[in-house]
Amino acid sequence: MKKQVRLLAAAGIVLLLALLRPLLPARVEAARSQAAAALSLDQNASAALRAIGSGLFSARTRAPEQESTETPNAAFLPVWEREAEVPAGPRQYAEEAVSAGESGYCPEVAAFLARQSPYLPEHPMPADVEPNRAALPFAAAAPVAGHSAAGFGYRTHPILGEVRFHYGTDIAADAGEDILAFADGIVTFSGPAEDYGNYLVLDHGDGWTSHYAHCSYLYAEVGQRVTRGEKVALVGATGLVTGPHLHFELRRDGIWYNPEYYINE
Amino acid sequence: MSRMRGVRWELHPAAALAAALVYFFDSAGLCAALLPAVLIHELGHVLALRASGRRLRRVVIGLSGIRMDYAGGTEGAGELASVAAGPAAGLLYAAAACALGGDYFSFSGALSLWLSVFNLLPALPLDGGRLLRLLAGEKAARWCSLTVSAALLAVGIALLLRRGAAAPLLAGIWLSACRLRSCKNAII
Repeated sequence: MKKQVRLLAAAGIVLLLALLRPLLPARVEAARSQAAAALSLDQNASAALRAIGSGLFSARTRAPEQESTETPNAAFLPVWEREAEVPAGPRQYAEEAVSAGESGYCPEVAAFLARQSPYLPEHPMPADVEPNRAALPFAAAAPVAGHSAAGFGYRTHPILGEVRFHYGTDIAADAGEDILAFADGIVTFSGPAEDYGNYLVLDHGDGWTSHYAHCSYLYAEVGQRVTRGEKVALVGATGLVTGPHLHFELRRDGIWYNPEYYINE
Repeated sequence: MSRMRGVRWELHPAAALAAALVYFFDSAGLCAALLPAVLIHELGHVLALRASGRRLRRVVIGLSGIRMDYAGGTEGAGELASVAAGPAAGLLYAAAACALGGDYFSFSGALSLWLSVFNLLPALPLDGGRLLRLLAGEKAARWCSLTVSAALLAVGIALLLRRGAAAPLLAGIWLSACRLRSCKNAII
């Protein structure tokens, strides 16, 4: 009988702790979520189940089909109905011009511009990067108050030693500084990831997402709505890093944008 | 420990502690989503028992699952149906909840799907093992449940070493522990 009473008392204490979870100190909460991750009781483990659940029998949650851009096969059209082959847009035109050696500038100016730009001429611009400044459809705030961002583009990776394209910017900050949400949005990923360490992804709507890597602690959980400037994480040095900083990326539908335009005053 | 509608309900404290621990470590809203899945699974069992003329006498919630002791009725087909009704109800709920959509219901439906599939494993304390015992006899059921427990342990260790996921290993350990304690009628 006594053993049963002790077990019931222990169960009661654990239940009380679970109900008082918001009041637990941050260290205990961090240890608890790490244990939850180890026991597969966290968001990452349940993400697979949620994906299965939403894919099963459900037509509403499937992403709308991408509009197919294929034109009818030109070989079957008469000559006067075939479209002239023009590049699809400014970036493709620029890419073709650069790869053909005709950037429109005289060689001296081209060499000068190549030295200024982080986009090395011998390394082609990756297709999924937009180097120009695009207008954001929402108001944005700097992720770490008071610090500037640098490092978008090709660089020698500090750990791996090879020249790779850096798809985000590094914001130098001390470990433990607050990371603020770039804009209003919903958290779509919050947890440990390979190479990125503690990784947070916010979805701002319209395909825009902002990514925060190497955090030391994540406050926001998946599905939580955050407002611009709300504290969502702490700067840290988790993942493949040499020191504490925030690795910040800005994406839209698979295209990386240069966040330095919006962060540096 | 208490009586409700003519049925004795018993809750083992160890099970209460285990449930409280799971609730404490739950960071994904697992408990809230698991509740309807478990309830509908048990409801399937109970309704099929009622329909085949048996009466529920006692429900024991312990570490080896939720065990239902019933009285009356010995036809084989009725018992088969009452054992299979639990996973069947779970699968129906999974389909309905996933078709309904939304974060909570798709998670709950997926959990119910996992629960039903896990219960259909041919290991003795689970519904699948009991079905096997009704169809193929006690010896076949015991050998099969031994194999399944060993396989689940092996898969669990492999997944723990590769991906750091402890849940399959915990399920395998639970299954083996139930086998070792030879719980014949445990239903979860």
